[in-house]
Amino acid sequence: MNIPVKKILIVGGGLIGWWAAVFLKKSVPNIHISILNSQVEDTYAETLEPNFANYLQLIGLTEQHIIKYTDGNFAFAQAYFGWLRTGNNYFHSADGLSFDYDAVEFNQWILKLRKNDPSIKIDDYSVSAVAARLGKSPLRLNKKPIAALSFDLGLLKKLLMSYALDLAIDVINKELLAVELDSAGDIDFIVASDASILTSDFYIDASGYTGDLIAKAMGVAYESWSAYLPFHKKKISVVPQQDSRLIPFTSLQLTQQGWLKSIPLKNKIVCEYIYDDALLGAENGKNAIADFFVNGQDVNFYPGQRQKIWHKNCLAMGAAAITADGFSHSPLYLAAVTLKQFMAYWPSHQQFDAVENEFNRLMRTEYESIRDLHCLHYAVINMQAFSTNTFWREIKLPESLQYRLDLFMETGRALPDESTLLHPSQWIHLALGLGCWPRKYDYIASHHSDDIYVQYSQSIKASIQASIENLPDYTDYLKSYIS
Amino acid sequence: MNQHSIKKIVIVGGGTAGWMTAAALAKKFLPINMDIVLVESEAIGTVGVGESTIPHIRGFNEYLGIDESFFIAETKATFKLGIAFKHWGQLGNDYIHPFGPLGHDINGVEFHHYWLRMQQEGSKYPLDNYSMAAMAARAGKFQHPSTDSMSLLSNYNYAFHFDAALYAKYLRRYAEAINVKRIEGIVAATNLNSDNGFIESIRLDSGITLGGDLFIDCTGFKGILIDKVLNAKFEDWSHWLRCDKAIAVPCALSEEKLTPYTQATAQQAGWQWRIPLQHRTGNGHVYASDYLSDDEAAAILLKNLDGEPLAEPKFFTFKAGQRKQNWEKNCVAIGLSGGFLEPLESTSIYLIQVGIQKLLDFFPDKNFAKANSAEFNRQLDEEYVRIRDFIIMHYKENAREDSPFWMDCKNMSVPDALAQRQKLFKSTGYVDHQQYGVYAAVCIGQGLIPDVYDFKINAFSHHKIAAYLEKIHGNINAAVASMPFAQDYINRILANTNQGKPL
Ligand SMILES: Cc1cc2nc3c(=O)[nH]c(=O)nc-3n(C[C@H](O)[C@H](O)[C@H](O)COP(=O)(O)OP(=O)(O)OC[C@H]3O[C@@H](n4cnc5c(N)ncnc54)[C@H](O)[C@@H]3O)c2cc1C
Repeated sequence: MNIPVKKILIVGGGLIGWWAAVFLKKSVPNIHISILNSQVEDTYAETLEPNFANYLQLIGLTEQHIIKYTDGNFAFAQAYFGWLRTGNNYFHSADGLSFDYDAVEFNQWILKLRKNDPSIKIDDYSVSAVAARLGKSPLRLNKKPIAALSFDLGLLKKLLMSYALDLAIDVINKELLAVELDSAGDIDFIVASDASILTSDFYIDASGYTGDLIAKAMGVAYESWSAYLPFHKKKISVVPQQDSRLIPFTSLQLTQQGWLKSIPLKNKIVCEYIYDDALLGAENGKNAIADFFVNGQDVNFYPGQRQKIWHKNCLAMGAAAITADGFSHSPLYLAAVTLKQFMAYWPSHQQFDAVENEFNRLMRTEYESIRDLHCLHYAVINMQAFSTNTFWREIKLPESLQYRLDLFMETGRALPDESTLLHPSQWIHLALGLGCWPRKYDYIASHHSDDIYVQYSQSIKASIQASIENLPDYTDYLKSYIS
Repeated sequence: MNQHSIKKIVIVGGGTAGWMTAAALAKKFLPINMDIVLVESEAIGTVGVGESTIPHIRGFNEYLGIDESFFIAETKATFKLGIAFKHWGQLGNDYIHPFGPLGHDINGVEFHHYWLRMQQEGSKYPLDNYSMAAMAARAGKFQHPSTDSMSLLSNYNYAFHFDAALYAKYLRRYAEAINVKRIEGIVAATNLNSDNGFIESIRLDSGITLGGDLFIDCTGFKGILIDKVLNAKFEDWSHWLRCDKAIAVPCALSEEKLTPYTQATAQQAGWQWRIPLQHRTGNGHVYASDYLSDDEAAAILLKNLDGEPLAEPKFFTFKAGQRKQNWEKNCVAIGLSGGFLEPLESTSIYLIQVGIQKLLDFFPDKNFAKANSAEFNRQLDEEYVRIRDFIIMHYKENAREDSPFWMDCKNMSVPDALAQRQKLFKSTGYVDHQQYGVYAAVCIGQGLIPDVYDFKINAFSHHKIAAYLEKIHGNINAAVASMPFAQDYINRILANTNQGKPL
């Protein structure tokens, strides 16, 4: 008989542990969920991918809840400053750019146009990007674009904890002392800080990078991505949002020593500076950014993935499973996706290697394509060859990304993605936006003359212009959205 | 067009692959005046088999804008709802790999889990009972699937059996009408550029030399062009797929009504196909020569025909495998020149189609970027391997002990990914939907029954599921009863089709 596990213990009281608790209990009400609410280091703010609303829905939350209760804010685009040799900035958005002309894809005809007009910018073709630049809200459009959501981590955790109260989740306010394995290598029980023994059918390790269960006890190794994602330090500073105008986009600013990310919320702006120690140290004294972060909090992080995130009767989530640099796909998003996939492979008492292997294989595919999207951010700096720092040039590209880039640069074609989290077009638009223009366009694009594409391009821009004009100011929009 | 654009394409070979490629390229490049030439040799001839297809062929015909009734009349085609596998897995087994789903998924759990639970609780009904395509096939019924997606009569798909020679002939007319130039002749030499190894031209036995930008090798097993640029690198899969010979013979139609499916009957060291067309039945015996002599194989085939043989049996020798690169430099292999997988799941013509589609997706320019052909090759390989593994599975999952061939197949080691997939199915009933066909139907048909069903269905009582299955079966029976016989349906189409209608 195949008896599903009915009892799950989550170790780690960070945002991800709490998300797991609420999500599992909501999805499978007749299971027993307990959470060891031990200390886990969380950061301050994250921005969720535009389709996260679907996940929120599963636990009974809406976008409105996030905006209202977690100091939340919409992000219609992610702005890149300093990433382009031209000096232009680029507003990357999730919507739009699906303007194919008579079976000629957007990226192909725009490539052809650009041969004669190097000033072309692809974010001129996205309503969200244009609206974000102008501080307007595209959410009033008839065809409402999907938007990303930024939130205060501590506040969201509080919200989840208050949910948990009504859900008969067993909250154990203790720390973890020890983990005991049985002879088969499964977790037998864990010992809490007061020497009490906790047992469960299955365990979720949400203890953070240290992986108290999966790594420390079970010995599953961590695969570092430091050759590709070399940063491992950041400073975080939270400043009050002083301007009366809200900012409807996140931004990434490239500097000589690293990059600066800012996530504007309603009442504060969370700034993270991801930097290289050695570079920063050398120029510390005269660095304005360093000054800004003088009182910031120092955080270490280690990009990479756990070799197996599901091992025997334990699933790793959050930093115990994967860490990337934070360009996209926030940790909560990845955890939520992982958990949803896990639901489809729900473990049983009869442990099946085949299930575990298949699940791990699928998640690895997802994680690695997200890693590659991160690496693309560094690749473009080298491809445009404008940074003077040799540091950037030493960053390696994963083979899979190199392959993808070669195809793209030679032919303008995108590789179909095995990942369900990334659409190939997302990848193409980011590459084009950050200045990787392929050497040639598809033969299909030559079926029409430039004149036709110019006309088409103008009509798109005009219609975007027309719809933007009537949009409300974002700050006003958000005020009325909340009330 | 610019100075880098391909302006001249040379296709060598006029079998199914050659004419399908010519027709599709000509159609695609109609607006831009591409120069397309096809060379074939009547003296050499075509392989002359390849008559059973899968539903994708309809997409191809649609792309070309070919009217279906007209196609049926021209190629003496019949309808196909699936493949019936007899004696596979175990002597006496009989299951259908249907073109269409099994039952309905409920609450996100696939139908075969419900079926499995009923089996574990004592039911004996075969899985076929819950497939529209399988039940209609067994009853000899056919009509076009309904467009009303709520109706059971929409819940299946179909393909064709057709006369391969007539299909190629038909496509030739089509292609010639849209400016493909056909040249009769035998390619005597392939001239490579001495610097980069690209094909510059081919020389025909008549002395004519033909230059081109892109060369497509559709020369069948010979693969004369690709062999030259690639130096014969072939990946041999015959340790998994041991059949290396076939005998084919057409016979007179049986007295019985037309069966709208391909029959694949396992024999002692291989299997036999039966493909009914309008005017004859195609038959063949695919076998492993290590286990069976040609005479024995021929005897088995001739003993199991519906009617009088209509021609001398024809022998084929082959090896399962694929050319390491189907696209190398400026040469693309499409059809048998690129690789061979036995016709057990009727997938060769489909692979031709995939090759053509991907060539259009990755159409090159004169720079022939390596990254481009590399991705074409990767995607095509992926498709080959997917089908290869699916076919291997038919041999591996068997419990036959009546012949050394089957016992050796059972004991062979298979590709890792396949082994993992089978283990997963056996231990959980989980199906990876990236895989070919109606995977669960074939696994279960072969005798690979999952140990457990999805526990989520424990929420339903035995009674409730039993009643549900009975209802599906009842509805399918009623729907099938309302359908016409495939024979009558085809006759009606033919009566209404104006043969010889211009293209
Ligand atoms: C036993 C058997 C059964 C099969 N059953 C099925 C089936 O049920 N379903 C299915 O989808 N597929 C089946 N196939 C595969 C199918 O037959 C082929 O995929 C299909 O016919 C395509 O063949 P082709 O065009 O590549 O080669 P061929 O038909 O061999 O054509 C080769 C062409 O190249 C020409 N040529 C060769 N050398 C030269 C030269 N030197 N100069 C000029 N021209 C030359 C020939 O004249 C010919 O025109 C089967 C194959 C076999 C062997």
